[in-house]
Amino acid sequence: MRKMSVKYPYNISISLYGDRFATKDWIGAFISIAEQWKVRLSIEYTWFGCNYYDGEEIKDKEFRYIKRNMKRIEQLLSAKEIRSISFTVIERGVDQVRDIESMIYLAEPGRSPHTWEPYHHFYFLVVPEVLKPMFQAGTPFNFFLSVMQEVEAQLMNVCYGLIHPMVSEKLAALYFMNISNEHLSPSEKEKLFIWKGSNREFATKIWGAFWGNVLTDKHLGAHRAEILAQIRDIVGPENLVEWAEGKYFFAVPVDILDFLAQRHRLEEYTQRLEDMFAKYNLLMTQDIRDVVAKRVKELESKG
Amino acid sequence: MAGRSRRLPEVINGTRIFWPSKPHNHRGGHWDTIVQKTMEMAASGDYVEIYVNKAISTATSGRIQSRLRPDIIGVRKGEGYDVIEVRSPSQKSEQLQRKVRFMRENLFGALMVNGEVIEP
Repeated sequence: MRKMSVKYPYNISISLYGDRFATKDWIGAFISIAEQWKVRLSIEYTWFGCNYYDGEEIKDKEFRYIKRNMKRIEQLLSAKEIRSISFTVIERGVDQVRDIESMIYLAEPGRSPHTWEPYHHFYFLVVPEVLKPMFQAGTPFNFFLSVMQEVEAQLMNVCYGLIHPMVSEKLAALYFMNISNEHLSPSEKEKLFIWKGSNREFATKIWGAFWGNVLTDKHLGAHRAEILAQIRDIVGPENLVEWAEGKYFFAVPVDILDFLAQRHRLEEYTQRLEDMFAKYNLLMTQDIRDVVAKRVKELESKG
Repeated sequence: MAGRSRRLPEVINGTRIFWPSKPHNHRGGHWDTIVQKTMEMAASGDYVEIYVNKAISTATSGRIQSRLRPDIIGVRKGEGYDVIEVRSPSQKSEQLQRKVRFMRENLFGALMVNGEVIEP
């Protein structure tokens, strides 16, 4: 297989999972957030995309995000029942491969009879080059905190989340939408099987440890104080914060803007955290292969 | 790997393979990669059947209604489906990602054990 040629060596994913939207007009709220981040990050979206219901069918539509398509986009959004919506910055890379440079996406749970994930999903992908100017005014920790607080206030009740840098050829935008590719390591693929099998438990169990992690009291349960103390010991007290009532954000003390040089340190930290979480039985364990086998048997028994 | 001019095996290691009836796009190693991946999947012994460029409805015996045709659908032994897309020269990487994402989120859901995109 050929090595992908990509313009940016790595990108950062913010993936937040909620149990309900904060407003009925979640599309309007999302567009407002997307527009705000466009201005703050000085980016121009090049593509708009959405999934919508058309009778019994669900369809996928995308438009170039240019002036002459605005009316068509508005008509689609007002006429159809939307399931997911996204704005993307696509940069033409080397060898005609187009990279997703930035992407902001929001979806409610699907309605396919086979759909497994019950969560509302907010996903934001950015390359560090776009973020660097932002960090002159603050730290990455505070920047990600502000994204979470905005999503919580304007979009949805955040129950779980993560922030993680990933080498571009691993296609983070797919990985965090539960799809693998040939560039993932065997352990990354196995980890994805676990997430896919267990993510219905997103409000009470943890997928793993990442650079940044969002947990709630529902995850911590009776051992709340003990687990928070151990997190504090590992990452440092300055890297753990209760950002909303009963909701915590912590990040490992590794410079996310120097990820390529520090990825081994990041792995060491996440491993320490996962070992600790395992002791409290906080980690997801159910594998999608077992789940699907069970589901197929159920379908077969129904004929 | 030869293209469709060479006769391709219909059964490998007990796995039945359904090849497309019409010629596929041969450019840029796309077809060769599909054939190579299909052979690897069949040899693994993990699949009952493998469908190459067939409609989702066909590969899932009507369980999932869709006329979309992924490059490869592997029917796992009692464990759902693997869906593989190989990028063709005319296809943009991000378009392909979008297609697989759509199939997983809206059609296969939890029945898709493994969704994967491959660069030829």
